[in-house]
Amino acid sequence: MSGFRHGAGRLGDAQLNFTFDGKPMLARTGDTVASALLANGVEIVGRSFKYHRPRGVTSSGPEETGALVTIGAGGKADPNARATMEPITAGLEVFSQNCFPSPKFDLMSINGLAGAVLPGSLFSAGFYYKTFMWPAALWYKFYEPAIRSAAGMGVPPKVADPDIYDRIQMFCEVAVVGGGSAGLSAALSASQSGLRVVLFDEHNDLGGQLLNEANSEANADLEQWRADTVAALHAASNVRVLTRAVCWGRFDGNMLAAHQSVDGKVRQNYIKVQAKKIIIAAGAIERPLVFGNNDKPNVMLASGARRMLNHYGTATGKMIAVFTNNDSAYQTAFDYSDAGIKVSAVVDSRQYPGQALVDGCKSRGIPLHTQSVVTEAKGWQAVRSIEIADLAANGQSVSNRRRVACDVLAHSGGWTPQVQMASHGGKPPVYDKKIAAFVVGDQAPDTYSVGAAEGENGLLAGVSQAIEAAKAACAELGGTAGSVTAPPQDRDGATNVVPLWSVPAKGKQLVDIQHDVTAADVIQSHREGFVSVEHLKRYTTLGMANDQGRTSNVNALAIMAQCRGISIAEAGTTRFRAPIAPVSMGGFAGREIGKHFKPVRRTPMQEWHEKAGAVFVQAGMYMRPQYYPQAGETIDDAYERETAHVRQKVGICDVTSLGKIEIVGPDAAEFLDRVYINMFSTLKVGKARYGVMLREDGIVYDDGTTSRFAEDRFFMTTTTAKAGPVMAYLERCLEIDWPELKVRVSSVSERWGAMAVAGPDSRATLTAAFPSVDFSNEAFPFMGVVHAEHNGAKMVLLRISFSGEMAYEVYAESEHATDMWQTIIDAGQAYDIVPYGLETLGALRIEKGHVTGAELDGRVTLGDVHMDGMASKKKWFVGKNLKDREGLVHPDRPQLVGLRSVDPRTPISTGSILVTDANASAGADKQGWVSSMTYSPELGSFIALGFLRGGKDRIGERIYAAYPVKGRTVEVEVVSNHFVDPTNERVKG
Amino acid sequence: MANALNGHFEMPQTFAAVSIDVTATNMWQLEGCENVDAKVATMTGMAIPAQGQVTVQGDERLVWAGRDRYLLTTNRSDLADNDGVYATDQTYGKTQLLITGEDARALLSRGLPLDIDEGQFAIGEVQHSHINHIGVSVIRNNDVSGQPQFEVWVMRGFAKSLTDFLVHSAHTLR
Repeated sequence: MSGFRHGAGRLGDAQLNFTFDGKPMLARTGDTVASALLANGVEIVGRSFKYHRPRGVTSSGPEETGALVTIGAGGKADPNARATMEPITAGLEVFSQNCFPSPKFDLMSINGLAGAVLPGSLFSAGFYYKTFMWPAALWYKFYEPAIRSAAGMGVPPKVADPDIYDRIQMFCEVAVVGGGSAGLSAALSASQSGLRVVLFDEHNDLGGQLLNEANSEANADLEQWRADTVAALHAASNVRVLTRAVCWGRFDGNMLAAHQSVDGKVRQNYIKVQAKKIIIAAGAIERPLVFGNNDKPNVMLASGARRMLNHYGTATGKMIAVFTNNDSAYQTAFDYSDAGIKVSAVVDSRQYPGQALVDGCKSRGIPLHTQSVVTEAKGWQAVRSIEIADLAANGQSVSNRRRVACDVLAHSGGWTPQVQMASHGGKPPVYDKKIAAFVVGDQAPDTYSVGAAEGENGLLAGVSQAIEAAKAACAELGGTAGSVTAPPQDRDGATNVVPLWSVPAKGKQLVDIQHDVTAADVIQSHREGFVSVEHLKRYTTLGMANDQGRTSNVNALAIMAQCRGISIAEAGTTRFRAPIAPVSMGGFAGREIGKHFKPVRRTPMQEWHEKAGAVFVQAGMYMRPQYYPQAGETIDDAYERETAHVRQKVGICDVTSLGKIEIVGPDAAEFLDRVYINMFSTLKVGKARYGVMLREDGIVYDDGTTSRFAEDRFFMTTTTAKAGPVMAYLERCLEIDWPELKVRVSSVSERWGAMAVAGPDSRATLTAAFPSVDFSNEAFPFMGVVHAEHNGAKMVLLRISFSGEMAYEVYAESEHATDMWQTIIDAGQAYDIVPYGLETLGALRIEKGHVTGAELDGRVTLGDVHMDGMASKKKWFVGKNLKDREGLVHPDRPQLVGLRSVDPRTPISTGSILVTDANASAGADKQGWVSSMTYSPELGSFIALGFLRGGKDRIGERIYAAYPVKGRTVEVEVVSNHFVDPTNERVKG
Repeated sequence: MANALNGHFEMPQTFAAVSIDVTATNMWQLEGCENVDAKVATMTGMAIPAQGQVTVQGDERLVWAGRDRYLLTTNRSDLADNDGVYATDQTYGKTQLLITGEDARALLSRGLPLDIDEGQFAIGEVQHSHINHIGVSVIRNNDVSGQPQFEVWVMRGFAKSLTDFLVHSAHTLR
């Protein structure tokens, strides 16, 4: 128990209930989880990543390294939330993490001792790499379980997140990242140009470091300035103020990405902002000092302790000590003292902090220890005292160790500008000796980095920088930014920091508190040769926790620079990557979950299929009927029935998913002659022809039929799978390869609903359905094309066949396609017409030996599928130059064959390997594979298509289809791929 | 059988001030290879819209759809290839969603990566883009009762997916 309520800060009066590990607690509106926990006297909030050391609140902002909690329960649980960034809401459930059985008593904390006793053991630098080196047998048995159970933070929810996340696209001329005094001023100034402005801030309250200031009489005018500026921004119709919105990445084209938490029906918005100019006013983060047990609960950043008191009305302790190497932390001591809280010491590693600060301590009766350091925070679990000592002038040793009582140690190692957004823009940050940290330096295009983010900590100076940036940005866009009333008080930003990268001391000295990386780990990394900052980061995992190195980066590379005997500027810094803060996956998913996971493409007859009880299967973006089961039927029963029925009577199938492309222009026929292997310029108007396309490398690309509607107008169909790619390919040919051809292509896929009507009774059925059309062989022969109308709706009828039976394809205007389908079904009742699905479509074409995507898999040549005779010798076409390469015409290539089970009731698995030995082992000679299989009702046997080495000449041979995954081997006979009606009599009818 | 895609979707005011009207379209694609603008103007009797623009004349609109290509929304069904202008009937190929109301922009911002803020996308302009992975064309229509209206064309097969997505998104705008 150290923290307690002290004054109102800027919070509301209303009381809210919340729970921490089930224990009921009270908070005020405006509290964060961190301020509420401190106000309730909670010191230990959780345990650390590797060593399970007790941890408490260390800050008041996004740099929080200690208080990581799980917010909410069940599907709403959000693990590893920073308690400093989560507002308390009524009834909020908060849980500690990494604790067993409780935060105060944790069994895994032995890990920390092991590390201390055996330096370089289980969890020290590089432990990932070392532990996984030998012997392999121990990986799964020991290392992985040991590391998994010991390391890691929080537990992801096991059930789906019930909340809604939105993705929002915004556009603006000026985006301002950060809502402190500089950001507010920049946004207000820019807004007066009339250009659109978006302002992001990750906190609930705008004001940045102004919120650290006491909400007192003396600061009333400053507080009023903040309130007025915020109100003016809210009032401006061209400004969008996004609070609780963490801007986590900057991408090409000046795109900023942010996750915004909102109260309401939506939990978070993932916002993408396309900006023309970006003003980065992201502020600076206070650095911790590196001394013994600097991660102990109640060791806090000085600015964090100050904001807890002044903004949240929460004193962090009853007796506070301050440890600093710069001026800024003195204000924390003074504010606590002025609030009536005892300050037991200010420990300053510098020789002389200046008369004003010396006097400030003296007048308040605060003991000041200059040229001194804190060597170690003491206390069983949380801080109860500190050991301080005199620092030798060379900084290498200490003397005169002594104890000072306190229950909070507020420390400050200087300020680190938040340069991540600028770094994403491509510019490496540069080291600024004055503030002992990296700044943006050379600005990325369209970027202005201002205020503390650029190393300017002064209030008035930062504001004036921001307004200058706003004016410059607006001027480049042709606008005029306005002036903004300056803050009525100044805060001198000079911190007069004298670097103190680490203290010669005992105990664990944490550099990356979140990832339990110590100063010793950095030194060990150097010793083992991982000396570049990028290697250091990966070897030690430093900066990889969810604060992304905000607090640890500068300290770590300074220690490395010391080890290497080079300057920090020479050591350099790692580049920052997005996201710079933890962001929820929910935001990225947005609404693309459940039925919105992927758009579904629907054919016009979709509802009819649903009502008919079809079972659907995904085919590209479509859901297509797989089969239409009757009562009690299995999938096999259904497709065998449908297949037999089409061969004996008539069936109808939805083939809307075929690609449909109209090709027009005076050179349309020439164009088709180039993309197809066979001739289309000779095709007569009113006729259709089957065509095959090759890729430039001579491999088969796609097939389909193309009809000639007029001399200069063709209608192409493609396979379902290649509908989009073929369209894009044709456009590319016309735009790039042959711009001289006068041809236009356009997709008409969605204009037409398509249905195949197949079977011996197909002609009778269609004659009954559409009496105005003459379906006689003379008027409408095989490969004929007829345009017709029915009930005022347009149709195109093609007499083509995929099944091998007499068949037609009916293309009906999509708005009327279901009516046409129903008309055919009604007319077909006399012939027992059945709808059939993809399974039967497949069975029919396998029986006929037609190839589809399963065969045309991007490795197959014309010869492999016995189509080499189709290739025209009279003209050039795509693929002609390369199709006859030696390897592509070799007689031993796997060639398309039919396969028939020797035992007709034994299925052949698709994907089987073709071998000649029934007991073939893994090293056997693999002679081919099975690409498609079905049961053929016509033959009363399982049959398959496959590719067999030299297969053309092996008809009649008996071989084996082996499927080692399932331990299945089937004896098959090699046959022609034309199982049914090999002479094509039926289609001619 | 009625087209199950079509309909009027009005959100309760507590959810959003926006309505979505879904209907089939009557549309021809006019294109060619030479002197297309002059020939299309002759064929339609309409002024040729500049890039990103729409020409309105009576019940008909001529919409820019890429180089030497226009879409004519019309009730005519008798257009034919003529003098190097190729008239391809695209009727019913696209479905039209009229998105109207105070929250129309907010709704579209949930998926459309286009700048349609006031002053950025004028009445009579068209852009071709996508919403939630679905290709669309968007036209800014005349305001209706003082509120903006956007006309979205989508391939018919995706109309239901897109409508579902927009209706779902509209439920949480307020």
